[in-house]
Amino acid sequence: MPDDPIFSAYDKGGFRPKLAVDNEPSPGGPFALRNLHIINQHSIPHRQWLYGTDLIRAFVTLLVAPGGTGKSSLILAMALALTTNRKLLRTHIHQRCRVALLNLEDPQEEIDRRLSALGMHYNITDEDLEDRLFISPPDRGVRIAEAGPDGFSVIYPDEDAIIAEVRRNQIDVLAVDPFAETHALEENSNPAMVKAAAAWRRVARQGNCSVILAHHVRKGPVDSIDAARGAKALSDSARIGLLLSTMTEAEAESLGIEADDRLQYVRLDDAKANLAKRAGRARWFRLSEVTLDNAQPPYQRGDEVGVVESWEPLNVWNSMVDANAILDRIAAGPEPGELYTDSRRHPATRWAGNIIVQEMGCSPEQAANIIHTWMRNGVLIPTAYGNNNRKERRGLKVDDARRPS
Amino acid sequence: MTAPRSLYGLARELGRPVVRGQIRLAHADAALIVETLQQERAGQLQGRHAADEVSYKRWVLRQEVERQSFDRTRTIVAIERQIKPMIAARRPHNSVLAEAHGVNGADGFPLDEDEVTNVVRTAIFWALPPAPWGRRHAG
Repeated sequence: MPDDPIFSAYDKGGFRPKLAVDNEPSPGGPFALRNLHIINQHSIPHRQWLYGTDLIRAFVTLLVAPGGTGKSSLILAMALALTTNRKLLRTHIHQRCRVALLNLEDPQEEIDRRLSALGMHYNITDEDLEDRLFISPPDRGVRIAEAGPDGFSVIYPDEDAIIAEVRRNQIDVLAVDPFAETHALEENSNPAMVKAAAAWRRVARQGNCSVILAHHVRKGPVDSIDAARGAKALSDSARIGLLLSTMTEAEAESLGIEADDRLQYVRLDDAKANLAKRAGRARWFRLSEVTLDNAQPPYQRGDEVGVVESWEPLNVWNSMVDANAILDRIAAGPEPGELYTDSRRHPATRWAGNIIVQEMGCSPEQAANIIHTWMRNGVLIPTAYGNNNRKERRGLKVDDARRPS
Repeated sequence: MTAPRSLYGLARELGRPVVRGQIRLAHADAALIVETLQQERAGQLQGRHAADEVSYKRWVLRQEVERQSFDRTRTIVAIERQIKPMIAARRPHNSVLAEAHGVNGADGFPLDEDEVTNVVRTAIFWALPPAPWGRRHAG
């Protein structure tokens, strides 16, 4: 049935064709209100997630990160995972994709180095890519939006060309790094950023691909998607916001990482998720180094290139061999008539965390977390008691009924 | 010489055109009455009353209609279940059609070819995004 309007609209990726009953002109003009119905759920197309709940077809994802956190490496690793259909960063890949990188920051050689390093690290060869990875021409910038000749209107010089190229190569994911280089509008102007973001949204919709925009942060703490540099309209326009940040000193202490090593660890948070539930836990990555085999005089060794790999914080509960032995020691107290306490004001003598540190070899911060969890679960109950010197003190009793079995 | 026709064969055969809407149930009933009277005249009823025979044949016909209706509904559901993931993945429409005809064949062809095509068309129609409001009434 080649001339069927429904089948031909479907094959061309177009819209629902008109039915005969739709030919009545709308009395209310182009903005006439219409009834909204709860339609059959089976007829609703599924959201086309591509990479976990980070990338979705026809929507824009904003990746916000300070410089040097491995933003470009992360995007490249995601691209490799999508093109090879391998869970390199432990994120589920819904379908194998064709990925295009609009690289506007780094020279081609640097991309080659990173790609080779990732290939070495994850054992991926050029054959595994099967020509599914694309990159923009090295000497050509992108102007998705800029001020028109009158200085007020906005024109979109490259939008149609990008959409055409995305369609021609059947691109599923378009990674833009960085967003700031793709427009020449005032970055602190909300109306201007709305227009620039809308241009990328049109690319995503008309190209039927997912667009991920890498963006830098402003000065100051990186604690939410609002840390993105420039006007807030950009982060509001994106449906999914990811925030990449380095490990803080407090996190390093709590996770048992040396303070000097903490900059090698980055966390990825779902800072904004309009279409899916936000993940409660951050995803952690480690920036490890791979030495390329490109030693040339006068350089004795090959280039060292950072690659992103998935990293799981050590779970202290997994390393707990016998919780009841620890609880027995806490219940016995430091001496007869005395109880351990959750307060760290007397760490040498009465702090219960000392027992955990001795038994498990973990950090005091991790021990404090364990005590806090046990108190929350009711395993340890804070009580007031009179000690041997008949002074009222606060201590921890163990509820035997709530001990782990 | 052909094999003797089953007494209730026509009642079963009429189920298919009735279910497909090619003849009406009342017309099928009329055909059964005519056939029974012919059988009575030929002395094939072996002493049974013609009215009882017609009543029984009508019951057989309705059983057949009900069974085939259920089979067709089940096949439509099976086709929809099979093709919706393909439509979501935007597979070409001819491969979706081929899959639907395959399901129909596996179930013993309870649906016509055109009926299968219509099931696919309907599923595809509702899966397509509606046109923007301005374009919907342009023509």
